[in-house]
Amino acid sequence: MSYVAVKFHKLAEKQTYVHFLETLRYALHVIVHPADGFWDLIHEKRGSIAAANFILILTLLTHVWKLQFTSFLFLDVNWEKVNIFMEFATILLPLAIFCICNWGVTTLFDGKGKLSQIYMGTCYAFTPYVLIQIPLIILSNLVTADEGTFYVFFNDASYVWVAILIIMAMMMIHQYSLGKTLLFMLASLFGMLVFIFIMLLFFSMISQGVAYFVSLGREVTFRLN
Amino acid sequence: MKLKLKKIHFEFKKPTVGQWIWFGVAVVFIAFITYIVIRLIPHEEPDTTKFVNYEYEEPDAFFGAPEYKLESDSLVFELDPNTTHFTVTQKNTGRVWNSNPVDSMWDTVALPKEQNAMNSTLLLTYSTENGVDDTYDTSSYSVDKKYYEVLNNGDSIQVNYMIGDFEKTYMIPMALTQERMESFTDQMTQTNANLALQYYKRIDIDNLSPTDNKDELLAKYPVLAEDNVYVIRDSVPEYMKEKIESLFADVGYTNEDYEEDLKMYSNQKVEDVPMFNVSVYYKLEGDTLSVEIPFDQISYKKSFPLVKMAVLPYFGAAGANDKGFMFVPEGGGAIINFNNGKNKQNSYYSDIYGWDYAQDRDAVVTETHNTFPVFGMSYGDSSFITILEDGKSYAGINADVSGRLNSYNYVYANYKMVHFEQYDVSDKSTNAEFAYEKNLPAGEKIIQNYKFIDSGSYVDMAHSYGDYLVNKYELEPCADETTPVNVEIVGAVDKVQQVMGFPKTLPYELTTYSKAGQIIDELNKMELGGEDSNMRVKLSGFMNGGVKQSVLTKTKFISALGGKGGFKKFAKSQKEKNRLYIDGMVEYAKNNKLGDGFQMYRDSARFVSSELVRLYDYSPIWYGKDKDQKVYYLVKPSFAERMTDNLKGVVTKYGLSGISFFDVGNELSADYDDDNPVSREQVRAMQEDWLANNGENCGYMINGGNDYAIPYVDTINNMNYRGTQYLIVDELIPFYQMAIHGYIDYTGKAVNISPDANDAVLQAAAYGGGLSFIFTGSDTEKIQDTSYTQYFGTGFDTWKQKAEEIYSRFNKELGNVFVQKMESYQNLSSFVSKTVYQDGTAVYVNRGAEAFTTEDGVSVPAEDYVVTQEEQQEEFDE
Repeated sequence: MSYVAVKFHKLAEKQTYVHFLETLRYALHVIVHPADGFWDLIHEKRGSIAAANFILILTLLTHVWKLQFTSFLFLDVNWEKVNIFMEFATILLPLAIFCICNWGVTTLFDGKGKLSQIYMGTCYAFTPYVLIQIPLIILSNLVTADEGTFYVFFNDASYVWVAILIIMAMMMIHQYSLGKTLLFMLASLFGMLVFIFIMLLFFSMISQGVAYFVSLGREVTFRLN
Repeated sequence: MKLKLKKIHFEFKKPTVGQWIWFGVAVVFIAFITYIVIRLIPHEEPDTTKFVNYEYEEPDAFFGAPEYKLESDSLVFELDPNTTHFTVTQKNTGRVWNSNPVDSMWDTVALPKEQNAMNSTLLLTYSTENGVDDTYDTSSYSVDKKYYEVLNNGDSIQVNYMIGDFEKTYMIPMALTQERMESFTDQMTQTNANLALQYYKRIDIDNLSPTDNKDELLAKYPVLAEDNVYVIRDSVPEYMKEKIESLFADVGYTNEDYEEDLKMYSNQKVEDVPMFNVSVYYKLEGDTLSVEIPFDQISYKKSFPLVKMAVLPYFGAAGANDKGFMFVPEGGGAIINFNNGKNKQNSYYSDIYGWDYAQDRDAVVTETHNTFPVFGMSYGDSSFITILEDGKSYAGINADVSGRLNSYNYVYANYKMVHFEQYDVSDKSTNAEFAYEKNLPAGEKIIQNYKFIDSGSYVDMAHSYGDYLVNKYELEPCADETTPVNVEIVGAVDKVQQVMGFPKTLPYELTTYSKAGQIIDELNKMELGGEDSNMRVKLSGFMNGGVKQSVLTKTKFISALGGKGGFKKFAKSQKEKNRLYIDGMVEYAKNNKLGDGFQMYRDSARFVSSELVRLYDYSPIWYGKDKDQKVYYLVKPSFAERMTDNLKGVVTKYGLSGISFFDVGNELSADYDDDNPVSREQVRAMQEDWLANNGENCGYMINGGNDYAIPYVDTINNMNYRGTQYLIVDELIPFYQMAIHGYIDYTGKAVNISPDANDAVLQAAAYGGGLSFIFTGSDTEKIQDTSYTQYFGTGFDTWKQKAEEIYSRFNKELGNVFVQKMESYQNLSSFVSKTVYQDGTAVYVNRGAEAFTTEDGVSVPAEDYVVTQEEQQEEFDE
């Protein structure tokens, strides 16, 4: 039986859903007990990629909902020009690059995490974003500009919480000390910059190469006349 | 160790299908590359342009010089064969018009080159292959060298010019065999033969002088092995060449003989210099001098293409002490007074019918556009107007006052002849390449008609042009004694809208089809569009995506406005008082998408460089091409015709009254596609055809109002009354309007979206125009964030009351003038004007901020107009 068929077959089993919901519910545990939580997430297999994907999708949707429904007092968006692909990309691309760079850097320095575990941990860390932003969208439409302090506070708090969770996740996954974790977070940020730089270089080279042939063709067509 | 050599042996295997295919691909590829390489090898085609060497012989004084004179009822034309200058004398006024200023030699301002130009009847600007221009004048490059001839053909006088900076060629043998030489010299007398032979070097291969190189000579003249050769010596004085030429001519030495002998004379250095042949014909007919220059009689070398030609640049030029004015066709007409001292301003230049979009421009600061090809000059008692006929769409009008290049005031037409384009071959090379049009359009010509008028008033000049138009096009006077009103209803504009999370440009509803119906019904109930009114409704943005219309080969009604059914219903409901004109753009392909019928490589017009005509809007800030905006294409004229036909189909199918063209009759662009070029004149003729052939009673409405479209259209919209107000211009006058008023309805810019609505009404009153409005049915604040913010002032509900007020006053006071000719016009001050119509109705318009009282006692309030009838005027006279 092929791999795909196995996966499809699994969809029919009730156990799959029970497991999914269990691992998803575990996210609520993880965000308040990050140290234990992330350790168990990886080492006790209490998390799942499926739940991580689900949280990521919720995060993306929350981001778009935020753009569309937040009161204009707090967020000025020209909704007609919003392109949701671009909005998704602002989350997905950094996430992907972070996972790759972090894995790349930590692998060289005794990191114990696998790529999939880094991905899973990071996605679980997004949970507070979803939990806080959705009520905030509703709240933003109820408060005045003066009461906006509450909005701003919780909004910022959600980001800080997510940041702390990501650091804790990396610590647990790679079995690092806090200092080492912070050091390698910086290292992976630097790695992300290098990654982006090389990507830009690559695309620029490619387009130069293409442009060469285009201009060659142009010259030939001109000369032929 | 024993070296074991493996025996290599080939076994022929039958190639598989795959190998055959690869082999085939490789062969095709190599063939293709070879073909391109062969094509790329520069091959010089010899320039086979034929030139005629005209030669002016001074007439023998003894027999009396031939006269070059034409005469008609009112004019005498006399040409001086020694200079090719001519004079035209008006019999009635005695005014003598000189083709060139008579005392230009004493002009202290003019440089020698300029003085030569002032002595010339033509100025030819040519270009070299690296794009450098220079100008040759007929005076120093033809007349002074006697390279011309003047012919009297009876009804016309013909001047043939050979213009160039070259040494004269004499019809004498350059190199020939002894045998052939003797065949000529034997016919001469002994003295003459000796004289001729003296200037030839005889080369005898068996008897060479020590300085000669035998091998070299043999290589040069292979014939030497058989016969001796005569070669002309290097330093033969001009007068001797002339003498020898006549000796050879006497024994029957012909042009063909010369060409034949030239082949052998291979060491001749053929200097490549610019050279031109141009023939000018002068004809008189009544009060008109017609100047004709056929393109078929123009020759130029391919390496020095003739890019511009100024015809009679100093005809009638006025000196520093003359009083009078020049007339240029800016807007409705503009006056530049002689010696107005504005030589710190730019001189006047404007393109007839605007820019030819098939010519590329890097930047646009101001567009120049003349709707009618007329210029003129007046000296108080007499005047002339020049009406450009054939070739007018190649022309631009130049005018300048004294003090800049010379001490004369002059106005003339400069024609673009061979069009060219600069292009960048590649990113790597920095030197610009130029592509030139292959030939001048065959069979075309330039005709300029100088019409002389026995009066110096611009009113008479305008009426003279009016008479010309009426006679030429058999215009019918207007019949409707009410103010013409053009109402434009805007259906949809394009706007970026959110669709399923993606921003998308979609038609955005301003007026639905049913709402448009309601607006028109409401207008019908008002005075503006009532029973007797002369209202026409233009439906813009009603199909194919809105105002920025996509390619019109297929008609797609806009679902946001009610779709096809909605339009059908709307058209049906309006059938009774049919006044609907559907707006369409046919010269351009905007919003090009796959499968919309426009394939750019097939249907786009091309620049001279063979590139597709990709157009961008020009930035008003830095004047360059705004490449952030979507590109659009100029289409081939044949493709434009298909779009026109489709529009005509829509008109027939839905029973509309006609088509409102966005571009035809206003913008005119050629197609310089190498394979099938269509010149600008040909496109003009095509446009006339489209308008003339009105199928099943399809009316037309155009913008701007180019003169050639007038006989075929119902009304002109957006006429530009005042043009670009160049500072060199002294006065603006309704010249064009005086010519056409009473024969066609025209309106200016829409009143309600003008910067100053009142001023728009005042201009209409002064220029005899009708009123124009733009209406939309929706809340106009929705158009923020679009590029159509000019429509903010178009809400029908907000404007209908005001429009009605403006109209009812305008129509009450001025309605009756629209069937009449405009009798006269006068600018009383820089803000106040007086327009008088046939029946004596006088319209005083004060555009200034202060009240004005005229000499005949009419007081005109500030920013207002006053209409007086003849009776009233008489009262004032008493």
